[in-house]
Amino acid sequence: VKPVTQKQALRRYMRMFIPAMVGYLIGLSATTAARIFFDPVPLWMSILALAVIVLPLIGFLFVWLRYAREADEFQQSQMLWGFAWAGCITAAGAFTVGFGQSLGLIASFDDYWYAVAFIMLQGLTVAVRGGRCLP
Amino acid sequence: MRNALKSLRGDRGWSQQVLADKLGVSRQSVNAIETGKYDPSLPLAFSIARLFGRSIEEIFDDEFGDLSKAAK
Repeated sequence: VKPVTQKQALRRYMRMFIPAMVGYLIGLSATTAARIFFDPVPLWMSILALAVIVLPLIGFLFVWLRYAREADEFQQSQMLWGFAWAGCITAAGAFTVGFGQSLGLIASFDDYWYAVAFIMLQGLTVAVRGGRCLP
Repeated sequence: MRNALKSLRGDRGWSQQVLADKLGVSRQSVNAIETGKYDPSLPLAFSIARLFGRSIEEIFDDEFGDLSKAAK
């Protein structure tokens, strides 16, 4: 891995992150509009909509991973704690919801909320920990 | 781990951002090291020592050491 400075790593991250999020919002808006104008939505359009929405998100996850590799060691330690907390809380939530649904206690919902929860919890953990890197 | 980074930086009139740019790390990293919230890796400690023209022992020390000589 070619060593880069923190500024370069952040610049490389933002250069991909912003277009990915813009693409995601455009894809989401277009898909929502398509569902209004087409009822029922043709299969080919559903497949296209899935690709248009998911590809920018996969792109974001790729640059997130690349930033985790290129960021300076302090930022990496912060991210590690974020991933650890987010992973544990999301897993605990998935178990709780999964068994709750099996027992008929919790209503069914879309699975992508787990990914949303993980990403938000990762950022929240980094913000709440506020630079504390010691266990 | 204690360190003399803040006083060494202050002697040169550098802000945390200036030092961070010279080391290729974030300002948050410099702040975390100065406040003792984060202990740098050996490669980063060497970079810091080289930048200030000191040995690692003169800048970083554990609770039993004496950092006062770094300020001289």
